[in-house]
Amino acid sequence: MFAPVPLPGVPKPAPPPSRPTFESVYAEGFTHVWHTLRRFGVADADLEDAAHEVFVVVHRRLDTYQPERPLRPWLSGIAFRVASDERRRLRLRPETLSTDGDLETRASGAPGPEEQLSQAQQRAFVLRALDALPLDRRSVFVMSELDEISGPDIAEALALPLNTVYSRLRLARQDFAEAVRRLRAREGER
Amino acid sequence: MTPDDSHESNAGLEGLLAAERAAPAPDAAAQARVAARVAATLAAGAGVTAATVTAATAEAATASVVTATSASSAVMAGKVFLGLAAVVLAGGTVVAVRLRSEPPPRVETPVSVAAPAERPVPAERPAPIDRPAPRVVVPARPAPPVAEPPAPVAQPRRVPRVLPVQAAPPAPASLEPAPPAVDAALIAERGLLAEARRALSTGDTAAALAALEAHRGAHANGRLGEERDALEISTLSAAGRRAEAAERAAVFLSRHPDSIFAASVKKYAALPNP
Repeated sequence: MFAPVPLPGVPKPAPPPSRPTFESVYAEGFTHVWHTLRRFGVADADLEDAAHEVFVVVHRRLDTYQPERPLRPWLSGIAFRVASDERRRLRLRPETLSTDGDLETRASGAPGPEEQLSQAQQRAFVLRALDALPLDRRSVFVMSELDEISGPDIAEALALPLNTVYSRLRLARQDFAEAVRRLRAREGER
Repeated sequence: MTPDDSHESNAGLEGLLAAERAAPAPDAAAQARVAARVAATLAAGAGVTAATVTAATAEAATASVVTATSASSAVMAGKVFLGLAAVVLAGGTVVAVRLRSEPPPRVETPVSVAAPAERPVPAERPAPIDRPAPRVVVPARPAPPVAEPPAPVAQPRRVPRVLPVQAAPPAPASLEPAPPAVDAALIAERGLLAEARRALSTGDTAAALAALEAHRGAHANGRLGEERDALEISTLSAAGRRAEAAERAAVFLSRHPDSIFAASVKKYAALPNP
């Protein structure tokens, strides 16, 4: 047979990326997993348990990770499944705004523009608003709007058809905007 | 955002989301604690094998593998050395647990994980939703050197829960195929005992006793009940409850005179009451 002849001016294809070690995935993905679990509705008190479970799954399934694919959607997909399981087993925040325990972290009872809220207060507000979303929409919304993961990557991570991702994202945006409106209205009543 | 947001201004919602995107990293202590628990779980699932626990902060560009013999954590110059390397076996043996284990099933040279924004994107893939590129860049870091070839670690077949929670049936959305229930129960038992040992090794006898009590509640007829009772006796003694430890030890020895833990339990039975 003929030996391959290098063509001048034609770059060699890059070697496939190597699979990361578990340690590197842990170090680089821990913050993402932590925030994602919280945004998926895992309560603060349960975050360590859920993160622990995520990384045990990561360790077991690392050989299924495709190094050429982005890491964060893969981790988000695992976090989503753990959050779903945790929802059944652990204490989770309710998904509705029926409770009155909102915005306790706000220092002042008086309403004000977001610009006057601290970042921590704004985060508490966002998480509270996210609680209004069902998990299937919430997960897509978080991955798209907060993690800025592409639609196809979300579809792959959550094993959903792409059209479903877009549909859920559209509905989730409506839900989130409505939740923010309701929270602000409630806040203004105080 | 899109015109869907009819009730709220795009700018207002975007400001809120921007605040959440800028959420600070979790504290290093939480990261270290989770690392320790993952290591303990993996060790328990593997039948207790190997070595060292290492955790790196999200901010740290590098991490180091540290072998430690005490169960304390320390933050040093941007690195978190989680010294929870000691997993105390019921018989008193101390081994270290290596979180820096290899991805199953093959061992490869450690590499940095490229940030998503730096990855080549296939041309046929559609663009991200509303956003051109990921904003958050995962810091790449070199992998720490490995002192010696790590021993192969058997992979746990199921996620063992360290919490005192009875193993729940697998959820439909779970990644895992349903494993044999007998293995899940055994791994769950091991997880609880590993948690108790970990707590005991840190001097947190209350947490250790809580984990053991959780084991008793969840696995009253489990296969590791004997080991649990032996560990409980040593924990009671460590907590200063020596009379109770001696009483339990006497009961244990009467029930399990030929136990492999009998030798270690005998010394607690002989302890004088305070």
